[in-house]
Amino acid sequence: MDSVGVVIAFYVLSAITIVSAASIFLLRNLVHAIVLLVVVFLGMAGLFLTLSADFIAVAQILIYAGAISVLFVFAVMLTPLASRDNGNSLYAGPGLLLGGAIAAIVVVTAFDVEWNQLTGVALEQRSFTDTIEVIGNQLLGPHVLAFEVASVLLLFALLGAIVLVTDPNNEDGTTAEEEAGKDTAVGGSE
Amino acid sequence: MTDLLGNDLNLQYELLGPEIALVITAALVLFADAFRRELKIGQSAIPAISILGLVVALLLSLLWIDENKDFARLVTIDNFTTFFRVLFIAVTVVVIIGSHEYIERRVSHLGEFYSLLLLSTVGAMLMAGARDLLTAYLAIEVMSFSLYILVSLAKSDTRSGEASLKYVLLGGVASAMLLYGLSFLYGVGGSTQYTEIAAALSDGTSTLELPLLLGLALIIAGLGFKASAVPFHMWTPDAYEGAPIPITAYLSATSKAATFALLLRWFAGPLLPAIDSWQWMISVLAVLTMVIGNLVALQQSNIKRLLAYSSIGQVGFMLMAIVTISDQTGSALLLHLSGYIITNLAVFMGVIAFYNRTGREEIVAFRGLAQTNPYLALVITAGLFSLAGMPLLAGFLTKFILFQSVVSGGYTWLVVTALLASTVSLYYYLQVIRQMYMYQPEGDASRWRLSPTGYLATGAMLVGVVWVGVYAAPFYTAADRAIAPLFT
Amino acid sequence: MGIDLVGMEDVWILPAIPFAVFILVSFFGRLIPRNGDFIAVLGMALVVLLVGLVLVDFQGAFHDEVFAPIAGANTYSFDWIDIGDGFFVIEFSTYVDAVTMVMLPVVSFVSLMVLVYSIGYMKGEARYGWYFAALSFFVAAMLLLVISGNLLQLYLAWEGVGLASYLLIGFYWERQSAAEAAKKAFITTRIGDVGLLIGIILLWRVTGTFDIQEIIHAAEEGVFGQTYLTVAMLFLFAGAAGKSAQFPFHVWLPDAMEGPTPVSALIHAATMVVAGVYLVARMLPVYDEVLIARDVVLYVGLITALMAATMGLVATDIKRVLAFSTVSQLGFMFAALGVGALTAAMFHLFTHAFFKSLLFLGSGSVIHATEQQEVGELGGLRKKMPITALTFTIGSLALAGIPVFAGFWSKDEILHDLQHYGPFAAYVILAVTAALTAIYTTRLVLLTFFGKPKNEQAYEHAHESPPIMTGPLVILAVLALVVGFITYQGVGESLGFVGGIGELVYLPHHGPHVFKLDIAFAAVATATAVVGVAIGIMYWWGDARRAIAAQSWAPELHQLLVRRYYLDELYQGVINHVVLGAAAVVAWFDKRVVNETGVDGSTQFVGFLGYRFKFLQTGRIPHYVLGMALGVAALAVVAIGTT
Repeated sequence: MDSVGVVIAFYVLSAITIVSAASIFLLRNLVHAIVLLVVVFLGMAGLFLTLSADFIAVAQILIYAGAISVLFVFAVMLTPLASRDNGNSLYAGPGLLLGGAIAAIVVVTAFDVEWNQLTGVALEQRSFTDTIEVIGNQLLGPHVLAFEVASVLLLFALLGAIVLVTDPNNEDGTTAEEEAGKDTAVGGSE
Repeated sequence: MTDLLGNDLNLQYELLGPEIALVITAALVLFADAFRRELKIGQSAIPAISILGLVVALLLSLLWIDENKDFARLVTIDNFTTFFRVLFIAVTVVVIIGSHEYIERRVSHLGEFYSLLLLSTVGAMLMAGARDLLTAYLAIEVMSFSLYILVSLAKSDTRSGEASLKYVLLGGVASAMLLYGLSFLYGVGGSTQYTEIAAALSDGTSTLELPLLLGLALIIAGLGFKASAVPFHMWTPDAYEGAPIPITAYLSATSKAATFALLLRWFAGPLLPAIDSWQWMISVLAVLTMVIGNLVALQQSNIKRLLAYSSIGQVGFMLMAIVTISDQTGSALLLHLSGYIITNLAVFMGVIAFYNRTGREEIVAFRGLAQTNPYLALVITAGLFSLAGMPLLAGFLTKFILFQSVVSGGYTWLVVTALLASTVSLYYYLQVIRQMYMYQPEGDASRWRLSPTGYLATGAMLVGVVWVGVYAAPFYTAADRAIAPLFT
Repeated sequence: MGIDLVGMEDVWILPAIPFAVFILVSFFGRLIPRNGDFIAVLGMALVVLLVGLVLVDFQGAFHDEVFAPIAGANTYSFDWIDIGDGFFVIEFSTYVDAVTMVMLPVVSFVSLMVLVYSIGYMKGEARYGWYFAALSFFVAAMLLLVISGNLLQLYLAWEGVGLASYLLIGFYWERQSAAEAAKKAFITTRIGDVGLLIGIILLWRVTGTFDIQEIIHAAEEGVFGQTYLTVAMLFLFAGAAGKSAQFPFHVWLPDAMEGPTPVSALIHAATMVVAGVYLVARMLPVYDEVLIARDVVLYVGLITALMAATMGLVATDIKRVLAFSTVSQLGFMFAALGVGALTAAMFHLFTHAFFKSLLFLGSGSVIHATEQQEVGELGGLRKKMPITALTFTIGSLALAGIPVFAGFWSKDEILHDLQHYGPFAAYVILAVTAALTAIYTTRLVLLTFFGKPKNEQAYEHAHESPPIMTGPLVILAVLALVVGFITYQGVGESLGFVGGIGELVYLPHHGPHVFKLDIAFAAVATATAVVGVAIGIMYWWGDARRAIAAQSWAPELHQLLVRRYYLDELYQGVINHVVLGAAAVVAWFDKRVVNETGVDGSTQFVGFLGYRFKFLQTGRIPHYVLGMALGVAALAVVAIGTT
C-alpha cells in the first residue's frame, strides 16, 4: 500500500487537474483558457510523478506545458481579436449530459474494481529506481520498431502540416501565414 | 536480445522488407518530386517510381508465404499478414494506375500525394501484422494521419479542406476513445501483447468485468469509427465527398480492410475469451449499420455520398462475420472483403474516368452514359450489380458464402435482416443504372474514349468482378490459408 | 434407342448454345450481316433438335427401365467450387427427369417460334441485334434453370432470367412507362427472390447440401423439424410466387407488357413465369411433407386465379387481358400443385405454353398491323387479317377450355383433381374462374376481330402480317389444337408416345397417374365453358351495348376491377410512405444530427493557421462527436447494466 503522502498528493493533484480542465470550458477568454491548460498539464505531470514515472513527468512538462502551450499562445495571438472569445455552445446541455454519463461510468468502474488484484505479466515487474535508462534501452532495443514507426509518422505529420498550409493555387512560395494574414485583415475589418 | 521479461526477441529486419521498401520509396518519391527540374524527369516518373516500389514490396511480401514468425514480439509475419500485404499493395497499384490522369489534373502536391499514399499503405500493413496493442495503435495512426492529409489534397475544391478537418478532428476523438479502451484492456490483461491478453482473459476475470466492458465499448467505438459503423459513421459521407475521388476509393478499400484486419486479429485473438461480452455489441452495431446505411443511401443524389452510404451498409454485412467469428466466418469475411474491394474499385475507377471527362459527380450527370460510353456504363453497371449481389458477379458469391457462414454460426436473424437490407440496396443501385441506360444524354451525345490507363484499371477490375463471381476457389483458398494462423 | 449422339448426360450443351449465341451476337453483332439474327434462330433450331434427341434417349431409358421415371438421374456434375474442406461445395450438376422433359420442349420450341416471329416483328427496330442477343441470354438462363440439379445453380439461373426479363421489358426505355415497368418487375420479383434465397439457406443449414434430390430425400427421412421445414418451404414459395406473379406479387406482370410483344409471349407467358410452377413442382415431394405449406400454395393459387380473371374482364389493353389470363392460369397450376396434383399442373403448364404464346403472338400481329392495342380502337379485323383472326380464335378456344382444344384436357384434369383431393370450395372457385376465363376470352376475340371497326384509320391501315410472322402462328395454332389429346393417355399411346404425360410425370408415392375421361365430369366442365362463351357473346356481340349497360349497374365494382383492387396503389403507397418515408426520416435525422448540408466548402478552409473555426458553430462537428459519445455511452451503460 502506498504511503499517506502519495495518496494525499494524488487527490490534490487530481482535484487541481479536473477543476482546471472543467474551467477551460467555462472561460470566455482564450488566453485564460490556455493558462489553465498549462495547469492541467502540470497537474498531469504531478500525477505521473506519484506513479514513479519521472521521465514521463519531465517530458510532460517540457513538451506540453512548455512547447505546446507556447504554440497555442502564438496561435491565439495571431487570431483576430474578435474571435479570441470562446463562442457560445449550443451543445452544452447534451454535451454535459453525455459527458456526465460517461464520467459516471468511468467513476463507477474505477471504484468498483479492486485494481490491486490485477495480475499479468507486466505487473510482475519490480519497481525501477530510474526509468530513464530503462525507457531508453527499451525504445532503442526491443521496441525499436515502434520508435521507427513513430519517427516516420512524425516526419509525415510535419510534411502534412506543410502541405496543409501551402495554398494549392499558389505554389510559388507564398506561405499560408501571409495568406492567413490577409485573411485576418479582412476579418478584422468586418 | 531479450525484453524486460526475458523473452528472446527476433530482430530479423528482412521480415519487415515490404514496409521498409515502401517507406524508402515514399522518401524517394518526395525527393524526386522536389528536385524534378534539376533531375529533368517528367511528372509521370513519380507514379512510376511508386509502382516500382510497390512491386518490390509485393515480391518481398511473397517471400514469407507459409512462414510464421514475429519481429521482436511486435509484428507477426504469417499468412494473414501476407494476405493483407498483398491486398493493400494491389489496391494502391490499382488506385495509382486508374487515377493517374485525375491526380495529375486535380490533385495538388503530387510528390506528397504519392508518398503519403505509400505511407498509409505501410500503416495498413502494420495494422494487419501487429501483435501488440501499442504497435497496432501506432499503425492506425500512421495510416490515418496520411489519410487526413490526403483527403485535403483536391485542387480547387473547397470541400476538400473542410472534409479533411472534420476527418482529423473526429479521428482524434475516435483515437482517444480507442486509446482509453486499450488502456482498460491493458489494465485487465496486464500486457500489451495479444497472446498475453488472451491468456489473462481466459484465466477467468470475473472481478474485472466492469473495466473490460468499458474498455470493449470504447475499443468498439474507436474501431467502429475507422470502419464507419453506425453510429460512428458520420464522418464517412463528408470525407468521401470532399476527398479527391482516388482517395475516396482508397478510403473505401484499404482503410476499411485494414480496420477489419485489426478487428479479426483482436476479436479472434486477445478478445476471443470475452466473446460473450462483445458479441451483442457488434451484432447491434451490424444491424444498425446495415439498416441505416442502406436506408439513407436511398436519399442521396451525389454518387460519392451514395457510395459512402452503400459502403456503410456493406460494413454492416461484414460486421456479422465478427459476431460469429470462427475460421469459417473469418475466411468468408476475407473472401468477401477482397470481392468487395475489387467491386468497389471497379465502380470507383469508372466514376473517376467519368469525372475526368465531365467533372461532375451528381447521379443525374450519368444520364445516357450507355450511349456516350457503353464500355464505361458496362463497368459501372457490373460493379453496382455486384454490390447489390447479383449472381455471377463477385458480390453475390462472396456475400452468399459470408451469409452462409453466419447462418451456420447460429445467427440466422442477422442474415435475414441483411438480406432485406440488401434488397433495399438494389433500389438505389438501380437508380444509377437507370440513369445510364434509360435516359438520353444531356448535351453532348458524342462518343468518347477512356485514357489507356483508365482502360487498364477498369478492364482489370471488370475481369476481377466476373472472375471472383464465377470462380472464387483460388481466392477462397488464399483466404482460408490466411485465416488459419489466427485460429491455431 | 440407337441414337446415342446426344443423351441425357449431355443436357449441359443446351444452355451453352444460346449462351454462345448471346456472346457472339452481343459483342460482334455489328460485324455480322443482319446483326446476327439468323445465328440466334439457327442456334435455337439446333437446341430444339437436341432436345428431341434427349427426349428420345429419355424415352429409351424409360422403356428399358434404366431408372424409375420420376427418380431421374443426376446426369452430369463436377465441383465448381469446393472450399473450406467441404464446408461449402457448389456443384455444377444437371438433373433430368420427367418434369425436366416437360419443360425442355416447351422452352426450346416456343423460343424458336418466337425468334422466327421476331424477325418480322422487330424488323427495322433500333437495337435489333441486341434484342436477339438478350433473348438468347434469356433462353440460356431458362434452360439452365430447368436442368439444374441443385438449388444454388437454380438460383443463379433464376436471377439470370430475372435480369433478362428486366432488360427486355425495358427494351423501349425511351418510354418512361417501360423503364418504370422494368424496375417494378425487377424489384417485385427480387423481393420474392430474397425469400427464395432465405429458403435455400434454411434448407442448406440443416442438410448441408444444395442438391435437390438429397434435400428431398432428407425431407422424406424426416431430418427437418416440421415447423422449420414449413417456414423454409414458405420462403421458397415466396420466390416462386414472385416469379410466377402470384398474389400478392402479381402486380408486376400486367405492367411487364411494356416490352416487345414477342418477349411477352416468350417470357411473360410461356416460360419465365412458369419457373415458379416448375420450382414448386420440383420440390413437391418436400411440400408433401409439410401440408400447411402446400395448403398455402393451394390458397394463393385459388385467390390469384379468381382475382386475375375478374380483372381480365375489364382490362381494355389487349396484352393486359392476356397478362391477367396468364396470372389466372398460373393460379390454376399452383392450385393443382397445392393438392399434390403434379401431373395435372405440369400438363396444364405444357398446353398453356403453346396456346398462350400463340395468343400473345397473335396480339402482336394485331398491334403490328394497327399500331393500336386498346380494344376500344380495334374491331372487325377478321376481314383484314384472316390468318391472325383464325389462329387467335383457336388459341382463345383452347384458353376457354372448349373440348378438343388443348386447354380443355389439362384444365379438366386440374378441376378433376381438385374435386378429388381438395376442398369442395376450391373446386367451385376454380370452376367459376374457368367460366370467367371463357367470358373474358370471348370478349377479347369479339372486340378485336368482330363487330365494326372503332377506329377507321387504324382499320384502313391494317393488313395481314408477313409469312414469317403468320408461319409461327399457324404452327402454334395446330399445336394448340392437338397437344392436349396427343399427350393424353390412350390417344398419345396410340401415336407412339410412351403412356402419355400421365405415365411419365408423377410422384413416386402417388404412382402413375392414369387419366380417365370422366364423361359426366367433362360434360360439366364443357358446359361451364360454353356458358361462359355464351355470356361473352351475349354481352359483347356487335356494339357491346349490354356490356356498357352492365358497367353502369355497379360502377363501384367496375372501378374496383379496373383499378385492380387498388393493390397497385396500396403497394405504391407502402413504398412511398413507409419505405421511402422511413428512409427520408432516417436521412433527415442523419442530416440534422450528422451533416446539415454535407460538405459544401462554405467554411472557406484556408489551413490551420487561418483559424476560421466559425464553422464549428454550424453544428456539424459537435453533432458528430455527440453522436459518437452517445454510441459509446449506450454500449457501456447497457453492457454494465446487464451484468
